[in-house]
Amino acid sequence: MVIKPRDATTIEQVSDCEVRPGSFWERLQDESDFPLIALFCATERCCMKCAHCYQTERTGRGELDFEEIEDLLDQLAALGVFRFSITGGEPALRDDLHQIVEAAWKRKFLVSLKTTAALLNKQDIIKLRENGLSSLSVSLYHIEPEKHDEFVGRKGAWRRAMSALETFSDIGGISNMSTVIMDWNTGAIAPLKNMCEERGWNLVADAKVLLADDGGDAVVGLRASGDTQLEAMKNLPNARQRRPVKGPGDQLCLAGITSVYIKPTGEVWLCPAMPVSLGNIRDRSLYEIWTESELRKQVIGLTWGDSEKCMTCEDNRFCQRCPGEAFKEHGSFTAAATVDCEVARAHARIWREDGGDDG
Amino acid sequence: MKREDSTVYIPNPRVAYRKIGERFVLVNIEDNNILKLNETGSEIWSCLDGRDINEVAAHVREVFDVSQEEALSDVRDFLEDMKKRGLVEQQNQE
Repeated sequence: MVIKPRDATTIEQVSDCEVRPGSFWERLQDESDFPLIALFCATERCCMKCAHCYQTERTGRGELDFEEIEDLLDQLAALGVFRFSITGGEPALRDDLHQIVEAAWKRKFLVSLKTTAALLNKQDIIKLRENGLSSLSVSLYHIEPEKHDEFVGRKGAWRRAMSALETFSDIGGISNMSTVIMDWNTGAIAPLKNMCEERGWNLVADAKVLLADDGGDAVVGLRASGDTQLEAMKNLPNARQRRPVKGPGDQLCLAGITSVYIKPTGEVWLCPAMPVSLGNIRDRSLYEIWTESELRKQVIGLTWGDSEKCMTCEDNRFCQRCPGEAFKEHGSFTAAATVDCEVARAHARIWREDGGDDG
Repeated sequence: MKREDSTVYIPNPRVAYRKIGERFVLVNIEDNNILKLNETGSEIWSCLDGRDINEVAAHVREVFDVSQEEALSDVRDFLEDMKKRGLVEQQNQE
């Protein structure tokens, strides 16, 4: 035998759900024609009233039933998808959440769940873990319980979120705290980061408050700015990461490559931040939708060189320009969204304040 | 070394796995280690559906054109290693 089977290669540690440049997920993606990660929005119904939420449909009309979800799981498994991430809304508003997790695990997906945890007690968390849940992401927006509860509009939400994260990591799961940097919570990011470090949790902090799916800009007032934004962003894991200068032929974004997003009604999107449907799995197979979509071909063909403004921007190497956000703001994938420019500018300031060169 | 072996190994129920390209990628969700198998390991993993070691070795012999003895030895070593890593379980033994 030329290759001994016992020389099995590559042992790494699964950390969180993000596909960062150079990460294991990104490298593994090179070996598959279909995304390795499926994000399934189980429902857009929610028990919270977070002001920054970008989802605009909350009725729950026309959601896939459990049988349809099992069919979706079969299709995803056959296409080689490995990670199945359940999101919402609040997925626990579905009566069959435990069944969905169990059905995904039965098909040997690496299963993760993003939740507010407001409707999940300790027994639920243990049951989810027993049913095969590998990683749990819980939204937490402030270190002070009252401030978090006031923002999400639900008393006791902070306590439930903390309990879920603690319980899940105590029984061996990966706990991720998800937060968003906003004008009212910039001072809370450093303490949240410290809390995660003390407990062995991952902090997944988003520096961007995204526009609503319908392009609504009511959230803009929540965006952080100035020195307080800068101080908060310094706590992000990639805050001081050196980044390459963008070339005109460099691919703009991984949408359409590393993950597929399925809406509660079966609509297929490239990404949660890009509110354009490729088709519905109730009408055609996921494979057909994915491979025949002209929109997908267009998006994966986007490059930095498509925007002259971005190519000449001195901060472009700090930018993670999102074509979905640009589409919501300007109706064009090749435009630059305001929030991306602001966040890139802040990253550049952090870099320069730390003595980084401009080369 | 015994020539015949009816031991059956099955994937540990706490392992997520998927064939990506030509190779299997495994994650034991108890320790979150990722293991990417090589070509030979992947062939063996694809046989862990209730077949005993003899049957797995016969498959390996066919695919890689090696002797049954060599195949049996390599399959046995591989599965012992996988067992130590907590990725397979022994179902029954003769």
